[in-house]
Amino acid sequence: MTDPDVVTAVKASYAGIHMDVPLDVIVRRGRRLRARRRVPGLAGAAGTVAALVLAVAALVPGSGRTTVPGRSTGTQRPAAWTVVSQGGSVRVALQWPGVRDVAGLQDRLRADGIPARVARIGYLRPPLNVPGCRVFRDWSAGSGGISYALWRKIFYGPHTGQQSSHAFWVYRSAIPRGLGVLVDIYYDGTFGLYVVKASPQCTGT
Amino acid sequence: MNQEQADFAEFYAGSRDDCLRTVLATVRDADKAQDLVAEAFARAWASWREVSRHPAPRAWVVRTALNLSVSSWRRHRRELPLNDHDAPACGPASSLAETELTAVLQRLPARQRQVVALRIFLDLDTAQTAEVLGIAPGTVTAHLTRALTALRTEFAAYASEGIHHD
Repeated sequence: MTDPDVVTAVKASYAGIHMDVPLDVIVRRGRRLRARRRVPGLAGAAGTVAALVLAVAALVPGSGRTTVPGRSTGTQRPAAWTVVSQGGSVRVALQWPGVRDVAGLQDRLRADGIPARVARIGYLRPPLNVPGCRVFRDWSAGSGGISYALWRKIFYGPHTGQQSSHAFWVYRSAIPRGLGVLVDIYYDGTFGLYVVKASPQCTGT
Repeated sequence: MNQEQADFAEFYAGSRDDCLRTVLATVRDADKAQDLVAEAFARAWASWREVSRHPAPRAWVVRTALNLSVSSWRRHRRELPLNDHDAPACGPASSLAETELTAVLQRLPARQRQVVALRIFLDLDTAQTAEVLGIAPGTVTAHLTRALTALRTEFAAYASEGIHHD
């Protein structure tokens, strides 16, 4: 096998991999970056994708966004996540790098009795924009939102401090009938926790 | 669409797949690679007047994507390790279109993968590859030689196994 043969083989092995992000999504994001540069004081503060995600997660106070550590993977791929049931709660730890198998995590949470939707945030899906899901984005219970106290009961339970920097809890018994949870995960392990209206399309039940 | 955007659209259409493949060879996660490359292209568009005059705009995009990846890693490195009971179980692979052939490249050491990807997918020469990776041209040549040797062996073994199984 000659070097040109090797080059051909490598090219062929990646031939099926294509970029799916539409041009207009890139252009819109680029325009936002340009606009930020024009605003003094913001240029240095808002440049990264992570910042974008964190800003969105921050729309919901204490939304539990967090990060997880790097770990040498060697030749074995680590799990994307670990779920531990502890009484009435479920503890989810996310692995980094690469939070993979969000569908598997969703199935596992549902199997533990939690109406859950786990979705990846990315260029093809902005945060909180999950097809089939109605996400409660504010704390005004009277106008179709949910109370902050309820959000805390679902995701904090008896804890009084911050959620762990690499994991989160969901308290099954605190989820009222008709509601469920949305876990929005970015590729780098940043996540947001939200309450949604339960439905077959969104949370499976 | 004005001329500037038309130029960028042409650049994006002609470069996006190769840039994605190059970054994917390094980060090994298709979703992450896609987001990194998308963000890098968005930054290219935000600075298009400068990037369009860059001698190797595709290399600029890949360098930016790899820098974003490193920034992300540095942020996470400062976090506390997982507790013992969070030890990973055997999880399924990502949505990466991982075939036995792509796995051949991904078994190479990181630097060799980067050199191969930049040389093969982006057609960069030794000097450009060295500049993107911030290493000496001689180091690029050494990595490329080792990588091609390893790939030749792996692909030959793969080919002979395929024939054997048929």
